Amino acid sequence: MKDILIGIVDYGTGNLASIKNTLYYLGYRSIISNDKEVLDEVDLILLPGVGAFPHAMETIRSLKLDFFIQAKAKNNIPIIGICLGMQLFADISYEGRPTKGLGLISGEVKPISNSSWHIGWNKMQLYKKDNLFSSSDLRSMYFNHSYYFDVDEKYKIAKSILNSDGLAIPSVIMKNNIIGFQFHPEKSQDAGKELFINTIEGIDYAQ
Amino acid sequence: MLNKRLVGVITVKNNIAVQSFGYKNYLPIGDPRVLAENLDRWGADEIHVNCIDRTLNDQGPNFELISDLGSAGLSTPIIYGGGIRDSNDGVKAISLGADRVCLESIIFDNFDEIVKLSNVLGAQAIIISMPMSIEKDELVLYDYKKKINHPITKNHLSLLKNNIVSEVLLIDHINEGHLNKFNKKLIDKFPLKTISLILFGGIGGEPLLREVFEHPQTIAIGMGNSLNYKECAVQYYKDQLVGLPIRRDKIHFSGKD
Repeated sequence: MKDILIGIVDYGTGNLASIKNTLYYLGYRSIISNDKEVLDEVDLILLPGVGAFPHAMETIRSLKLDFFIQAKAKNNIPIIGICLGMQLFADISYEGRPTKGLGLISGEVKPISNSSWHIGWNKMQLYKKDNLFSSSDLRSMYFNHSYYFDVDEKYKIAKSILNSDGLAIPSVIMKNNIIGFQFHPEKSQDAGKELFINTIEGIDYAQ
Repeated sequence: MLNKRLVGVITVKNNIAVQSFGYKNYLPIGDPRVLAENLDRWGADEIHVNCIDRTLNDQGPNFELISDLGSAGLSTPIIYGGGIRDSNDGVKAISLGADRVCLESIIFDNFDEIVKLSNVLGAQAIIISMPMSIEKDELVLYDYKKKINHPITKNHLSLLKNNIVSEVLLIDHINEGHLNKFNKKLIDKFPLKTISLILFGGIGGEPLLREVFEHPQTIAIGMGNSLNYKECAVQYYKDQLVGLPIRRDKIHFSGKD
């Protein structure tokens, strides 16, 4: 395995230091940047979480990072999105006001019905167990969101059940080399660290 | 199913973690980072770092401490409270290492900035702190800057009704630091019945811990002093809550090979 360099995209509101330090403690090199030339050199692009969709997309567009990230996805460069970072993959979000997303994975970001918030620890339940996430099946992860990514079935890897009504939200999604976690692996203690490592090590870096 | 949370609360005064008794008397404990590392290792569901003197001393947030915690490699979500004056402070706290922010005096001093912060961070990242007590059988809110009680303000209700913030840290400020003295009437009298409450102040073990955890409006319990009396205290208290929806993962993983 080569020495991977991870580019953490700075779009103004993410929990940048938390992500970078978690990666450091796990033994990975990473760099925080919004400079396309810097991010062009990394092996894996990571879109961090914490923030509101419209503000994040506004910043990404103002930095012209939307075209850059879309081009990377087209070239099959690995991209991981965490929480809001995953939701940015969508075509559109209805958080606050309708806002166009990166359009990397077809779907819409909608408010969670019957429950305003999904804050705290919940289990991820895999739909299929023969993938790089298999050891994380039924592990508890830390969620902190009030909107969810309504995505096509074929991209769903795992779900999490919110309440006694059985309301399920996609908690892990994947399309080619684009992976989204609705929860925060960097804040999910042992379960998150293990998932983070399995994902970073298991992803396909061949270009 | 979403679990309820046991939150480790670290009260910080003059940059030192302290045991607090009703926010009137304090005993020093030590380095807040060491306490946070303990809570992280023991499997707390969240860690709330509350710097209680930052607003009174007009110092702004303790960015140095947040940065220190951010660089500690903690994998437990951090809630930071203390001295946040505007939306820029809130955004900076998140970028340096906090995952959520807890607001209090800004509700009186700079209300519009909370709306602005919510538009940037999302409401899920914002908690409001409400130190409460019962006075003449009425729920009252304590303004620690003016040192007076008054009814819950329109600003507080507006933040909650309009989903500008996500949760309330409901503090029994009178019984804070006094074991098992939390006043349950505070929950019953809270006016908005659908708001998720993080309860703090005088909750330290059975049977009160279980009783307040079982309340449908309780989403989390904050514990401060009680977690400092024994090793692996978080697991000890979680063991007392068997049968309730709380996370009970084993802590064992150290990193990649």
